[in-house]
Amino acid sequence: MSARLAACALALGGCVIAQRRVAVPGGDDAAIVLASTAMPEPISEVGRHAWFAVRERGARDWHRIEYGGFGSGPLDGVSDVRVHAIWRGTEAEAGIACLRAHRDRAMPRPYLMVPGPNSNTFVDRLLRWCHLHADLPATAVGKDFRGLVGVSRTTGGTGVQFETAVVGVKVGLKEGVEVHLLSLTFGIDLWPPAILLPFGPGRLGFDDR
Amino acid sequence: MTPQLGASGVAGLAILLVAGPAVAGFEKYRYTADLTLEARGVDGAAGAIDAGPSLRATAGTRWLAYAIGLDVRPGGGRHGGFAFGAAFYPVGIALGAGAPVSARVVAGIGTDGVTGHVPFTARFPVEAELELHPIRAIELTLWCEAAWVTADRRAHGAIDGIGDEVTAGAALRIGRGKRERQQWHWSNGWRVGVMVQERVGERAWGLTLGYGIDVAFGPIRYEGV
Repeated sequence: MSARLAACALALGGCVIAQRRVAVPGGDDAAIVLASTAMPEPISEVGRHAWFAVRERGARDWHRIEYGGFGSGPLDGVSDVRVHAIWRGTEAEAGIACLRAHRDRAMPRPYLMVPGPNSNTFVDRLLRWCHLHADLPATAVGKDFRGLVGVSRTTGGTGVQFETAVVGVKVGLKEGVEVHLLSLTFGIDLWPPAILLPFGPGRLGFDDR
Repeated sequence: MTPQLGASGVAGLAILLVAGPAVAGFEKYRYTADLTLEARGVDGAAGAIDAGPSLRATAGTRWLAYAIGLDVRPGGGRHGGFAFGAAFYPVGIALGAGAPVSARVVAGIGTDGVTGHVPFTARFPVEAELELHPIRAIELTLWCEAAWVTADRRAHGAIDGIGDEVTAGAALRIGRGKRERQQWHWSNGWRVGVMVQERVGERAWGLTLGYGIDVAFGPIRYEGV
């Protein structure tokens, strides 16, 4: 473990321990998967794109709810695809209905790659509006976009955040403390514990749950 | 982030940043953008650990280009206190931008300091940089900055350099790079370096660690690999 931690410290680009398995759940019950992928080069280490993959109750097929995208399969991405949260059963049924109902309203208009609104702002809005509690990775640029000035609950559901287009701060019981500077995220995640960095998967520590 | 724009969006961003009035016939010109996300730690009584983005962009011909820059670095003093530095460089020229060997000089206005240790002041920095890019995966950067300040307590802080304060450094970046189609190429990678800083009458050494991304757009004839 010490060698692993040393390697993590050396990497500094973000190293995730106990990473969640990258797979969609089996069965035919309703399910929502929140996933992200590294962006294409040359920004693969500093940017990620997030999306929802959903499966209706009784169905076998998956559909993606996202802005843009890199594929049609539930976990298709460019590289380093990660799963951040999974909802199933009645919670997923209600979530899917909510995602579909609010999808158009969550679209980033006008689109702006940095600082947002962009495809990650789209996912962040849906997470908050549909009460699907999960955190997007630190390198999902645009996840904290709230316009010129904005205040909101966090997507994790246990904190609040105050954002401007230049700087912002997020504080939460589980989320810990995040500082946002020019769309770069620095901070400490309290649970699961990790240091948040604006590189790679966005965290140095345990995978988010 | 935008899946549709993807990497080409970065090149587009570079254009938006630097094209300005040169939009008409812009395809004749070369545009570059260098973004570095870097942490710096400097020893000494006036030392600080800070981190933030540094952006340099150019627009012009293969030989001569207009250059601008922006630095933002919050952090903490080595002996306590809040450290902050920011600079905007609206004036500059670049030679050989996007080529295996390039040089750039930018000048502007900024501020920095450490609460309780180094008084905040207006600064007028001039930065010169030489980039050696023998292959896209490797970049060696040599840079030097001389700055003039308005705070009396920081005036003449350089021991024997030009201006009131002098900072110099070297950094090596190792990563990847590729030429995309005919019109642009990119490179990126982890970057480590050393720096020496003279201010408030002391010379201090420091280390830098970060990640850099370069994009160059336009009629590129990159002679490197």
